[in-house]
Amino acid sequence: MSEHAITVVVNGVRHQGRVPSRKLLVHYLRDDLRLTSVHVGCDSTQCGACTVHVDGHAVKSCTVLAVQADGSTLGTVEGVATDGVLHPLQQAFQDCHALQCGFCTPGMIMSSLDLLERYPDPSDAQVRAWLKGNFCRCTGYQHIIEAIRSVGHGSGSVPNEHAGTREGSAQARVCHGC
Amino acid sequence: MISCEFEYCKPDSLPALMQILTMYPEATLLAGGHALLPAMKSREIRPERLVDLAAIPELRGIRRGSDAIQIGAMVTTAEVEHSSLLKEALPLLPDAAKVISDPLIRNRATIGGSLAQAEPSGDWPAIALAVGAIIHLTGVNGERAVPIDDFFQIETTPAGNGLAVGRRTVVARSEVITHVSIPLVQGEVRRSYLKRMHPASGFALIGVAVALRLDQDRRCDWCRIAITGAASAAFRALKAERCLVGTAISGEIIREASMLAGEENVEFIGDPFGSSAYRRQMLPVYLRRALSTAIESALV
Repeated sequence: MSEHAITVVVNGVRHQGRVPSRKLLVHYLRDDLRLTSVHVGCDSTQCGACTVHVDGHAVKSCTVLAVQADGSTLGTVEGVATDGVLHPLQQAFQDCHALQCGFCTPGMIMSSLDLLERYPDPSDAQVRAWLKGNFCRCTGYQHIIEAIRSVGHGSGSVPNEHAGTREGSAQARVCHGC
Repeated sequence: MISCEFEYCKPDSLPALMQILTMYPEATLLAGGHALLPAMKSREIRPERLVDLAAIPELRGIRRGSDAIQIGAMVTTAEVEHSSLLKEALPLLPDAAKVISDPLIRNRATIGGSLAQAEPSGDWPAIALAVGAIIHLTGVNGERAVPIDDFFQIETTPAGNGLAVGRRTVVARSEVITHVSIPLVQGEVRRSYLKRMHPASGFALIGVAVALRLDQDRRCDWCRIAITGAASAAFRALKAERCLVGTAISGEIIREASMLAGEENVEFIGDPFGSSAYRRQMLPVYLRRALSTAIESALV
């Protein structure tokens, strides 16, 4: 099995290390860098508890090899607060009671930051569609959605249930039941 | 879960990749890894050597030519979803991308990987069939372009490790998908993609992609319909297409064509999430809705 030298920047800090090819990014972050906010939930690309940023976008680190991340800029929830002051999204999670056991929360935060980067003022429908990749078994999602929407730029705007579903002559839809 | 041990390398150009594939024709190509790595972690597959395609610039980018759009094999589904070029030129693709698995997976999963994997319930195979994509391959023996109609195949061969591995496409060992080109059809083409999504996996229990062109008299003069999730590979609903082409579109003709899709000569698949009978019954329903959606958009 090959072993590889990798260099990554995690939460603004440069790290160099050696990893066996089969080491997953989630294990590199947890075991080698001790960034234990990155949780192993389902370990099968579904639950999103292991969500981190790779070059600015949220991905499931249980389905990325550490060696694939060589040369990348990574982000975990440990790097989201500044000088002990919570990020507005973290504060909103606290204010809206958007967590109970907290296991999914780091992944929820990292995922939602990517959402807010792409859609600064997401509608209810956009938030719900986005959270398809992050499971929460406690809250029922409602408070998480409220927390995320409360930090949208124009918070309080009318949710547009059809945002982004119709463009030009093409359409795509999902039916969850018949 | 940890996969078996393997060798790993990451070539930085297409010629460098070809050198590696000449030396190791049995190497397994790693694109976004969102089908490959889960299968390796569960040890369904045990490749000895992974070749990461992430650093090959020739496999990236979305471009518009005079009569076709080119999408690099390593373009992610999220890049398709957010591409302003595609939103303008071929909005079916970004619209369909929005309903593929989840946003975190879309940030990694690639269009080339999805086509090469050819999952029976994958979304891109049906969408590629409906838009008449051409798959461009480069191998150690040169380049070739394969029309999507000839791309998927059903064949099972025993792999060296004793596990049966289905080869679902015509991509040969030591060949790589470099890009996909999609011809731009003249005239007002209406398209839609409708799926019954498995709520956890995000795969299509049934997915229907349609593209059709109506002339000034609302007569359909060109049509492609593709189905995923129903059989072991995505397929075209040729009976339904033949029913529509040359006819003036009405609710009745849409219903007739949709029923014909359920009679296609394919073996419907079943699993704990949906029996084959269920999928056969749902297909006409979803095709009718997909056609109605596409045609309604022609009328507004």
